[in-house]
Amino acid sequence: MPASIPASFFLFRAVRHFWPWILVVAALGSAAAVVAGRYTPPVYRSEAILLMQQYPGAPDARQAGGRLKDMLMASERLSKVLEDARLFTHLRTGQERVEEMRKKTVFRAHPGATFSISVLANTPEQAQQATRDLADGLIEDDGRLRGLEAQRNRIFLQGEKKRLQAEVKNREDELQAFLREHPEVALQPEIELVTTDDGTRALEQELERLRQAQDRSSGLGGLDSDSAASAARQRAEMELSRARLELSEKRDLLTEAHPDVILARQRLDRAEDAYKRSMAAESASRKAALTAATSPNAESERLAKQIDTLESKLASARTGGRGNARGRRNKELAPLQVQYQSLRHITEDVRERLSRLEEQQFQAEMLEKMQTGEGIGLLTILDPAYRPAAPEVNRGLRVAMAGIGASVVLGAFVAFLRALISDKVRDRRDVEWLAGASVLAVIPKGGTRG
Amino acid sequence: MQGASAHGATDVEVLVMPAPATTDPRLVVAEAPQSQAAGSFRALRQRVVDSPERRTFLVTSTGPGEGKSVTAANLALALSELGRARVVLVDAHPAAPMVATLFKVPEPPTWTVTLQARRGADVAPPWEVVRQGDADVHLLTACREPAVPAPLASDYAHLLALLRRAFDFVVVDGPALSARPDAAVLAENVDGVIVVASAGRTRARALRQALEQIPANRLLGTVVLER
Repeated sequence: MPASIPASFFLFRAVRHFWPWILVVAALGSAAAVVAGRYTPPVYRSEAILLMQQYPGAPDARQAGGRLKDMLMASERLSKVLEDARLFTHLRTGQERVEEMRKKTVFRAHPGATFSISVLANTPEQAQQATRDLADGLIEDDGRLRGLEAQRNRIFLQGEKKRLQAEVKNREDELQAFLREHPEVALQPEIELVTTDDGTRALEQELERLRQAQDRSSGLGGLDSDSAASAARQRAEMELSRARLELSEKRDLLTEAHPDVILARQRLDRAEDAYKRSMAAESASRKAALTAATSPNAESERLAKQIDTLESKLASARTGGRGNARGRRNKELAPLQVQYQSLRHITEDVRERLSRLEEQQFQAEMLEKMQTGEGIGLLTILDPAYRPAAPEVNRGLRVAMAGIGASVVLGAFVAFLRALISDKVRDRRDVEWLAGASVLAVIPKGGTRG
Repeated sequence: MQGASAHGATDVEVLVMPAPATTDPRLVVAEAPQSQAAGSFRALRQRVVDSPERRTFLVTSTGPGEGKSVTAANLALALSELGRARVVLVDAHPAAPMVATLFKVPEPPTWTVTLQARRGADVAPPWEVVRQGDADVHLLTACREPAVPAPLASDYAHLLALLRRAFDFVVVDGPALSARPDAAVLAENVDGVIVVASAGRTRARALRQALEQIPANRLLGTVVLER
């Protein structure tokens, strides 16, 4: 198996035996780099700071940054600036000059709604002029475009306002016509269609209490027939409570004409009928049980009479609320009331939309004035382009330093290649590094070949 | 040429030859004993004999011409300075023999020929080692003999065992590790292996590969020859 030599051995040898190569290549390269650095022209950077005004309705500065950058880097704008400032004349085609200008132009958005534009050029005058032209042109173009947008927006809002005003008028006319036809609706806006007062509930609770007392007194609580009737009555009672609760909840949320309310009302009617039937069945069952009992006592009879009386009162209370004249009138007025409320709601909604539109229109007009120069401009120059007093960086020094660094790296690479190509051992340390065994002796130069 | 039995070992016969008028200048331990190079070889000697049971050494390299024969010869000379120790230098590279050249031995005997003669003989002829004058270094020389087959591993083992009994130190000038498999065989029959690396000549990859071929318990270390 051929022995493999690690690359570190050649690095070790490159440094030990071929360091002159590193020096020579580095020296030659550095000299060339210094010469190149001396002939590298300096560059100057000028910068302008723009401020975007902040007020209600103004565009977001971060979003505006992207748009402004695209506008700034547009070929048409850059071409104009290139021509005015006579930049990059050494390049042949206009497209090449525009590309070079894009490389030398930097646009940055900063916190606080400010933006900076900077341009690198070969002379301070060129840098200042190009930066100033770019900033001025950007403000002008941005204002013009925003003015056009605001104008279009205003025209649209005006048209929309007219349409809404006409709609408000129509709705109001419709409402007035309805009230002229049904003035009673306006006089009695609130209608109660179903009553479930506390007196009825108190009667029901008292009736339940008497029935339980009767059961205890007569000792019939455990009879199956009576228990079944009582259970049926309790179920009907629970259903009645649930139907009342549902109707109450639906009324809180919906109008009387809504299908859900109508369904809930129908459910309540059915529950009331079922409850009446269950009460009759329970009463009959109870009487039959009492008749069959061998020794009915006086207490049971008294309780039975009280229950009969209470049941009559309760029936009267339940039917009385819906049978009077007021209830009938309310029932007749309910659809009209619903229609009236609907007309009112629609009219108010249109008025509210019109109000919001007027507010938008006011903001749009204000924005348009600002962006068309009648008020404060959206973009203003916070810090104008200055004439740089010194080159931005010493490009010559930078080129020279880069060249020297590259030369050293190149020299090291050449030395490494040299060590790689010539793998002959040169001295004791080479052998020690390779062999890992001890060097017994180093015989100095002189007559030992053979 | 004069023959004699050496040290009571009947298998080894010492041929005493007159010392040459001049020797190879690369044998710095003999030619320039005060030189820095000679001092370095003596330092090498001290490093390799730090253990008393270590008496046989193979000197090899990654490739030809990297200085292993000169190193082996100078190591043998340096070892012979240790109280006039009996040292034999074996030329184990018959394809490119150098020992006879370095020590300027005219018409040297070739141990591979002796090896071939011992294989078929009823009475085995002795191994002939050369001694120049009263030097303590004995030479088991080799010459290029294309007709003589290469020694087997068992031949090396037998020969080195015999020499170990007859001499205080045995230094083997072996072939390059990359050239022949004999070097690996020899490495298994000696007490220590010394790898010679020549600055500016030995390749890093070859050296690393060669060192991986040598058993760790045999490897003594490397000798770096500066250019």
